Amino acid sequence: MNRVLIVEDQSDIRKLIRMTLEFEAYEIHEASDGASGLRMARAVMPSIMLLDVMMPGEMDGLQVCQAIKGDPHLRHIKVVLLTARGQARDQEAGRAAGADEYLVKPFSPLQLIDTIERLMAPA
Amino acid sequence: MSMPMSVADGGAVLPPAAVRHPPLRRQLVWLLAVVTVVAMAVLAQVATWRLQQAARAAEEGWVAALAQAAAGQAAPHLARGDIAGLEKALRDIAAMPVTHDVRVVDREGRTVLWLARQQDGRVAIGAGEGAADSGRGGEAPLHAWAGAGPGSSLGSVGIGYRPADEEHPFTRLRYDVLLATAFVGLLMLVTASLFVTRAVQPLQRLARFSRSLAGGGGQRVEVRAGSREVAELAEALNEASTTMQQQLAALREKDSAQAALLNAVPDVLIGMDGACRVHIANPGVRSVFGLEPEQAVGLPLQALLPGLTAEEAETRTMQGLYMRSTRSHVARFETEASRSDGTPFPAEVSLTRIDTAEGPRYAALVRDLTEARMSMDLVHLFNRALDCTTNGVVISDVTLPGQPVFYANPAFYRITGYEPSDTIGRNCSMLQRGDVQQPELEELRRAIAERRSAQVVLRNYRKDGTLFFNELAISPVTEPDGEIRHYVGVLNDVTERERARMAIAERSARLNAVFELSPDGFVVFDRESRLVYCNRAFLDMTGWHAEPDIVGLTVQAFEARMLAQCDPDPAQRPRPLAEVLAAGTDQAPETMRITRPERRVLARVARSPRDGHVETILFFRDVTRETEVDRMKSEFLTTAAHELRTPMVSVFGFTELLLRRRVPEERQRDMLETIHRQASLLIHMVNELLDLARIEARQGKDIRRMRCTVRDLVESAVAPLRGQARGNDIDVWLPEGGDSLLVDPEKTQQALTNVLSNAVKYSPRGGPIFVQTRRGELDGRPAIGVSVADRGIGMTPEQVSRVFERFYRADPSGNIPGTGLGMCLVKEIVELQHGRVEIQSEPDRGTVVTLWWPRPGPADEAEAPQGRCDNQAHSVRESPVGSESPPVNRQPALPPP
Repeated sequence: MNRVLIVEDQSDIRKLIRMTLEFEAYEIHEASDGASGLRMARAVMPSIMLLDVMMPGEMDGLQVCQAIKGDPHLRHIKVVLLTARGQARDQEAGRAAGADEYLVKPFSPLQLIDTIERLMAPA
Repeated sequence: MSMPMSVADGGAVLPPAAVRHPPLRRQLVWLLAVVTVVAMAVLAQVATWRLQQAARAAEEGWVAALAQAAAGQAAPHLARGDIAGLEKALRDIAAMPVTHDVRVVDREGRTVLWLARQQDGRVAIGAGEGAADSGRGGEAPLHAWAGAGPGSSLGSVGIGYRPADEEHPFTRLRYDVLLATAFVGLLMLVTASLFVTRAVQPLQRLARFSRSLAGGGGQRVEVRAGSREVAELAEALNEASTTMQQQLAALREKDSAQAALLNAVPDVLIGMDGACRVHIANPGVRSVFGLEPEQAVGLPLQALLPGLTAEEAETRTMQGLYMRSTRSHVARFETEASRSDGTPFPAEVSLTRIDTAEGPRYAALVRDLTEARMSMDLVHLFNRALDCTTNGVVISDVTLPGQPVFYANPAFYRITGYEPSDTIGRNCSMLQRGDVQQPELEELRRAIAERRSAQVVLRNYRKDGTLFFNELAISPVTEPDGEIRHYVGVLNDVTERERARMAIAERSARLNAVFELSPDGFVVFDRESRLVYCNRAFLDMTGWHAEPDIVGLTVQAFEARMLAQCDPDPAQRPRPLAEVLAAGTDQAPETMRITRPERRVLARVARSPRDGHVETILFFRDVTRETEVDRMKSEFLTTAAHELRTPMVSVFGFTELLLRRRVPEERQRDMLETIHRQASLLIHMVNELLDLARIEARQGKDIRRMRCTVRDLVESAVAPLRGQARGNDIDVWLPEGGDSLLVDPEKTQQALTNVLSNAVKYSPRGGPIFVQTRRGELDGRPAIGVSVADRGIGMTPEQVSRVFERFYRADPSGNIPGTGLGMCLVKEIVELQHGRVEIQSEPDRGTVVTLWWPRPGPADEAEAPQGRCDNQAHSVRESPVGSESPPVNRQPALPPP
């Protein structure tokens, strides 16, 4: 069963993602800030990570992404950045951090599912 | 001199007459010697003769006495006739050396006895006549006779003696006298010579002196030794010398004056004989004809004045004036003369013919007219030049009262429009026409008083009254004696130039004002790339000091100085100026960030020389604010977009899920509640953004301040919260509730509502909220504060410091809804009403927010309208947070700060 880790500071958004994915066969884990998200990633070893970019605390989404992609043990985790910042510069920053996908808020739940499924599909 | 010269003792040359006479000294000496010797000889002769006489008398007396003695001796013997006795008695007498013989005669005269001393000293005795002579030659001795016995009664005794025997001592005497005479003569000669020499010396000196008198040097002689006569003579000579000197000096002066006159005359004076041949010439010929006076002698007049032959000279003089007094004919004419090198020159000739006993004589005075002609030409040229010059020239006589104009050239009349008749004799101040308030006039007066030149530009008026600008240069005309009698003024009509200059000055002043007022900085470099100008705005931007500090800086030095103030980050640095300037004009502005005197962002545009532009102009605009506003706007938009998108994620996502999926009933409700909550948040956020935008845009202009009591304000803010069933217990204590504030009630209630709702929101576990009024000070003025204290989660100091940032949320998790704009609005509203927001907070202990307003003063009382504050309360938008208030839970208040 594929594990999905949601790192998002807004509880309503976590709830939305959770409800979006609840009919799929995913094991869902949640974290509310960057640091705990990274910790949880190491603990759970998810297949995919839905990562908010702007989060309070020491680490924002981009830093978490860099940490994941910089760690040989975690590198395989697919990272989908969720961000309210949709400008080219922000997307560029996301790609530089090594993100696999970049979803701009507000995103469509169906689009999210498509994205996850596409990433999960064996290459 | 062919005559032989005599050299006297002093080396002086004796005049010829003196040579014929021996010197006085020698004459005197010889005279004295001769006289002395003759006198001595006569004296010796007389003395000898006298002595001889005396000796003879003494001898005779002595012989007579001897004869007496012999007679006495002989008398007794005679009487007795005793011849033998007689003989014996007389023998001793006869043996005496004086005695020649002794003769005794008797009364009858017969020789009784004779005794004669022989040559050998023996005495011959005899009797008879003549026997006595036999023994001694034929000499007839003289005889002294004495009678023996009374009355010669017994006979007589005679003693014979030889006077010749007495000659001898006199011969010696004579010899001595001769010797003495010779000696005295010699002595005389020497002494006299010495004395005379001494006596004559002053005379000789005087003689020499008097010979030197002829020189007329005025010498004086001093005779120290010598006689009174000599002294008198010396005195007389001195007088003569002085007189002579004076006369000679007078004479010489006269001579030299005449000679100087002749030599000084620049003209030529020549004397000629009847054939017009020069026989005398003054040194003037040297300068005029180029001939030495000696060279001129002998030349015919024709050589000097070509064409003037003797006949011509005669003709001309005879036709000329006849001067009766000198019986001469004078002709004056101008002709062409010829210098020694053949150069012709104009000359004025005055030729005089004098008829003398030896025939006619000519004298000529030749004056070189070259210079005179040139002077004339020059004067003429000067006049023409003055007439033709375009500058007005005017000469004033400063020795006369009023310093009248003495001369003015045609240009002066042309420029001023005056006529000579209006000008000559009047003062130049007529050109001022009463426009005397010109500082340049003072400068002119000063210059004239100080006898110096000056140059000024004056406002002058033509005769017709039109204004013209007169560039006037005045200079004193210094006479050879150093006096200044005239001033020359040169006028130049510079009206056009002045107009242009004034127009330029006006334009410059305008441009300067523009540049000085400009908020943008301008820096100008000249063609040598040195800074020549920078305006105030630039100095203000850079904090540089005024001109002496920076004028003259090169572009490089200027840039180095600018860079020293710039952000050291190379990415923030502008391109090097040289590169920009080399790239030419129309370059895009570049920004540079300076850190001193304060952080600023400057936009720089450089305009480099091109096509006749020789100056480099740098333009600086302070774009700090624009940059900051841009940055803030961009940041705000990003943040606002983010904040607006976040609630939309829920609205959009849940809606989609609801649309696409079949969701159980209670699930649906939860999702719809979430959608509603997030949508309200969106609405609230938009409202608050609009409020903020409006307040900022209006900058307080829509603030309507009126008198409200603190109680009304607080109650109207608290009431909506009370009305909602929340768990918080709102404890209101208003000791200053009756005090009035001068505020916009609507906005103040909004601020208080925001603070109160925050207190509620950030007390998630409920807890009491205390609202109370306080007294305090605000900028030294009495103030009233309304503090809202909660017992909520509180904030760290870092959070407190960011609380007024837009969209800043102390809790970003979304657990506590909010826009992050509430406190911004509070701050804006309070500060626009001259109040202040104060926050004290500790994590987990709670927060106290105090809003302070100044108490209205008496001045404020009058202007503010009385308002009904509570009525406004209903217009306060309801906070959506009200519904989320936790249950009331009384807690002790936070200790007051």
